Amino acid sequence: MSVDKDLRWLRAPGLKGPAKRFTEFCKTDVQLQAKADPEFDIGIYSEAAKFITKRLQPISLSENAAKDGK
Amino acid sequence: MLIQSLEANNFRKYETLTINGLPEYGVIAISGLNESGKSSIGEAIFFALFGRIFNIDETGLAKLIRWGAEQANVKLTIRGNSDNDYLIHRTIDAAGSSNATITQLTNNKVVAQGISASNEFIVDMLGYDQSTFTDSVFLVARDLSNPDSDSSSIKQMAGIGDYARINDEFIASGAINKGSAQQLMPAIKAKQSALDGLKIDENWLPELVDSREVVDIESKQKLQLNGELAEFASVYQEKQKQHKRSRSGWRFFNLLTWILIPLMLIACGAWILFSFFPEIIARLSAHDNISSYVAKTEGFVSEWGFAATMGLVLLASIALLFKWRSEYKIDNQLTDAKTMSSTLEQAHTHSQRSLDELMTARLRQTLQGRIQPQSALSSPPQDDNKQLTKLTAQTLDYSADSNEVSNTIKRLRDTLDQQQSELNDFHKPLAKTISDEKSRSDEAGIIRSGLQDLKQQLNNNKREIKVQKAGIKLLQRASDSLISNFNESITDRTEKTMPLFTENRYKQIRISKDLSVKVYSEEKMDWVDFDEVSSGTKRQILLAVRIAMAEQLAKNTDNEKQFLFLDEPFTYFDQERARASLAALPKVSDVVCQIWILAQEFPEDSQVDKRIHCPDTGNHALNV
Repeated sequence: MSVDKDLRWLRAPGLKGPAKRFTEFCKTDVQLQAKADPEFDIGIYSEAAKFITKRLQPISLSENAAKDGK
Repeated sequence: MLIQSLEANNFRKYETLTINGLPEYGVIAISGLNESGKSSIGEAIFFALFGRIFNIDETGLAKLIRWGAEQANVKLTIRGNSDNDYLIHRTIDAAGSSNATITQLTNNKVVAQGISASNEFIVDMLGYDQSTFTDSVFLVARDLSNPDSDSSSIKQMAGIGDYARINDEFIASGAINKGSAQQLMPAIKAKQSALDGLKIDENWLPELVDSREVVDIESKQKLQLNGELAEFASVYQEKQKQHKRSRSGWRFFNLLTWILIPLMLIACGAWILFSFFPEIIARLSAHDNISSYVAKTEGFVSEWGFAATMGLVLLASIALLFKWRSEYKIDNQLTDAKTMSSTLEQAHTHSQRSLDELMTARLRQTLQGRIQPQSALSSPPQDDNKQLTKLTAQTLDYSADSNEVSNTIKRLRDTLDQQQSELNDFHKPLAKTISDEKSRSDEAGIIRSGLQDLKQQLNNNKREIKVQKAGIKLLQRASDSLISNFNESITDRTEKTMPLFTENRYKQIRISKDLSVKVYSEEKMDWVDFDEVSSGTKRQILLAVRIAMAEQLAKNTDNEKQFLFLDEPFTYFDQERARASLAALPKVSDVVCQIWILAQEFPEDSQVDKRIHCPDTGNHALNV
C-alpha cells in the first residue's frame, strides 16, 4: 500500500486556512517520515493528521481569547 | 476585509460621525489635535467589529457612550472576500448592555443576530479574533513593541493558532488512555489468572464427545449383532440341510445328464445315418461280415429311430433343467452362507474389541472405578478365537457342524451381551464428565471473551496513545515548518518596507524563531541587535515588521484584501521620512491595501487618498 494512496484525503477539496496549510505540510512531511523512519506506520500518521485537520477547521473565539487572558 | 463606510451616533466624543467614500486602495489620513476624536474613529471601527475596544472590555461599554447621551450606536460597512458587503450595527444602552446585527447587503439578509452570533460570524469571516486584530492590523503607536513569539496572535499570524489547543487535547486524551490502560492491566491479569486456573485442555471436550460417540456406536453394533446371532444357529442348521439336499439333487441330475446326452447323440446319429445316407448303408451292407447286423439295425431304426431320439432329447433336456435349478439354489445358499460367515466374523471382531480400542488412556483413567478389571470388555475372552475362526471359514460352504455352531454362537452372544451392558454403564458417567467439561469450557469461554474484550480495549488504548504521540510530533514539525516559513515571509516583506522607513540605513533584517530581531546597519557594515538601534529607528523597523505581519495574517486567513489601522505611527519620524513613508505605504503590499493613518498633522504636500480632519474641541460632529 503506497503512502500516496493512503493520504488521498489530504487532497480533499473544501479545506481552508490553517487546515489547508496543515494538509499541504503533511503531503511533504509524510514522504519524509516514511523514508526516515523504518517503523513508520501510515495508519497512525493518517489518523493523527485527520484528527488535527478536523480540529483546525473551526475557529473558536473564546478559546483564543482565553489563551492570552484577554 | 476593507472598510466601506462608518457611521456612529453618541459614540465617545462624537454626537454624529459619518465617513463615506473610502478608497479601497491607498492611504486614509486622519488628522487633528489632541482630544479631537482621531482615536475615537479607530475605536468605533474596533467596537463595530468586536463589540469592545482594545482597552475596554464588554463590562465597561457604557463608557463608550458620549457624555450626556442615553445610548450609542455604530454602523460599519465592510467588504469581505468576493466583494461581499456586510453592515455591522451595534448599540449600547446606558446600562452598558449592547446588541448587534450583521446584514449581508447584497441580498439584505440578516446573517447574525445578537452579540454571540455576531462575534462568531466576524471571527469566522476574518479568521482571527480581536486579540490578533490588536496585535496586527490595528496598531496603536504606544503599543508598538517587539511581538511576543509565544502570544496566540503571533501563532494565528503564522497559521498555527490552534496548534497549542490541539496539542493539549492530545496530551489530555493521551493521559486518559494511559490511565485506562493502567486500569485495564489488573483486570486482564485477574481474568488470565482465572482462565489459567481452570486448566482447560482444548482437546479434552472433543475427545470426550468422540469417545461417547464411539461407545454409543459400538454398543449399538453389539446389540445389532447379538440380535442377528439370535436365530443364527437354527437358520444355519436349516440352510445347511437345504444345501445338502441341493447338492444331492445336483449330483443326481448331473449323472443323469452324462448318461442321457451320449445316448441321445447315438440315437440321433443312427436315425440320421439310416434315414438320410442310404448309400453309406448300402456300402456297409456290401460287407458280408456285418451285412446281417446292418439289416437288423435298419429295421429297428426305421421303426423306433425317430421316437427314441425325440424321447432322449426330452429326457436330457429335463435332466439339464433340474441340474441348472440345483446350481441356482446352491449359488443362493452359498451367498447366504457368505453373509452368515460375515456376520459371524463381525460379531467375533466386535467381541474382541476391548475398552483400550474404544477409549483413550486418560478417559479410562477418568472413569477409573467404573471399569471392571476382568470384564468381557476389559479383557475379551480368547477361548473361542480359534473355533470361531474355523467356523467362520466352514460356514462359507456349510461344512461347519451345526451343533458346534450353536454352542459357540451361544457363548459369543453372551460375551456381546455382557460387553454391551458394560458399555451402557459408561453412558451416565461419560455424559456427566462431558457436561462438567462443557460447563468448565463455557466458563472459560466467558472469561476468554471478557479477556479478549479487555485486550482489545488495551490495544485500542495503545493505538490511541501512538496516534496521540504521532500527533504531538506532527504538530511540532508542522509548527516548526510554518514558523520558519512565517519568519522567512516576514523577513522578506519587512525588507521591502524597512528601507523606506529608515532612509535606507537598514535594508536587511533577521528574525529568529523566537522573533528576536537583528538588523544590518549600512553604517556599521555589520548585523546589530535590535536593542542597539535608537528608539526612533526601532519603532520604524517595528512598523515595517508589523505591516509584514498584517500582510502574512491576511494571507494565512485567506483574506484577499486587508485594511491596516495605524494610530500615530510617525511619532518618531521626521517630516521627510514621514512623507516618504506615506508615499511608500500604498505600494508595500497588494493585500494590505487600505491604510488608515492617524496623526496630529501630516507633512505638507504628502500624497494621500482621503483626508479626514477631526473637528476642534467643542464640535461633536464629523461628516466626510
